[in-house]
Amino acid sequence: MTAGTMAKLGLDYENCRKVNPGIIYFSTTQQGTHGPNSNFRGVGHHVNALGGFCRCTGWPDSEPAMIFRAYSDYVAPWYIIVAITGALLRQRKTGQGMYIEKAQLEAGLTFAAPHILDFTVNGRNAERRGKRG
Amino acid sequence: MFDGCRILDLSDEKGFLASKILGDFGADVIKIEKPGGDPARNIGPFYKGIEDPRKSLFWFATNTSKRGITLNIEASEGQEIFKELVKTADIIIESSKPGYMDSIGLGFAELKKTKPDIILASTTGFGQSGPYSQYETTDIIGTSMGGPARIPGALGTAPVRMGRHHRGKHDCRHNGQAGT
Repeated sequence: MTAGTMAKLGLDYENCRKVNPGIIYFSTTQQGTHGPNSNFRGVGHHVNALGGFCRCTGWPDSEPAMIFRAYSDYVAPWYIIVAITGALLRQRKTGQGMYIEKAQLEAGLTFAAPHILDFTVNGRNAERRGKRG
Repeated sequence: MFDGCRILDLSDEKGFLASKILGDFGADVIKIEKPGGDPARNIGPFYKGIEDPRKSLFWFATNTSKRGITLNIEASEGQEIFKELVKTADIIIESSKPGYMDSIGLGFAELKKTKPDIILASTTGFGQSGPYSQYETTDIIGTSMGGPARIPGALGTAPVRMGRHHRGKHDCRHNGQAGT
């Protein structure tokens, strides 16, 4: 849901934990629950471009290319699974619930980490290199 | 969330992200490199463009949340040290060719003798068995044979590769999940 929607419905974490204190509540949004773009309504394709993946995919003399479908839709869920597994282990030990939040853009950016470092320390933007990727 | 869980990471770049994610979530990860360092240290980009195994930004980005040691697991002394570590560990992640761990006496059956409840996560390019199992593989082969390289790019032009090393990162996340 877009950030804030579940709260408007009265079904946010605070309300759900009143019914079941051990509940694990995972919120995934495109660009977070707060901040300037939290209300942006988009799909995985937008995240591909925002995360810089399109910019470095394609031939050097061509426009940026769309990568594999709504790519972040394939990246982010695996982080959700690991986080939920961890939360479940903790719940089994302590009985405590947990609220976990993930922005799809941030999950996608973990795949671009070497390039973010490259820009940070070398000032270099990843370019399109065709088959060299 | 994975506090108290210890992971021994023997993997190459096919496994880096798996142990990093579990380390980010609180596991105690020990990266084990062979003498001379892991070959993935030669993957760029590099800090200040200096092509040095100690300055790989790829390495830095994918090996945070880990401690590290160098160990020759092919030597008998190294194997003894490794087995002492296995006794303290919950999970081993490795990415060698099928049969390698068995060939040096550290296959799953042997490791279970050292620690009966050890979890071994093995990742390879094409699986532990089958006609391609002994093939070498890299990221571009995985993304090409799996299909994702066919899709990006303009219509009418040759397939292109997605911005760098995606196959390995997906392998890692699947591995991390299997490990948990």
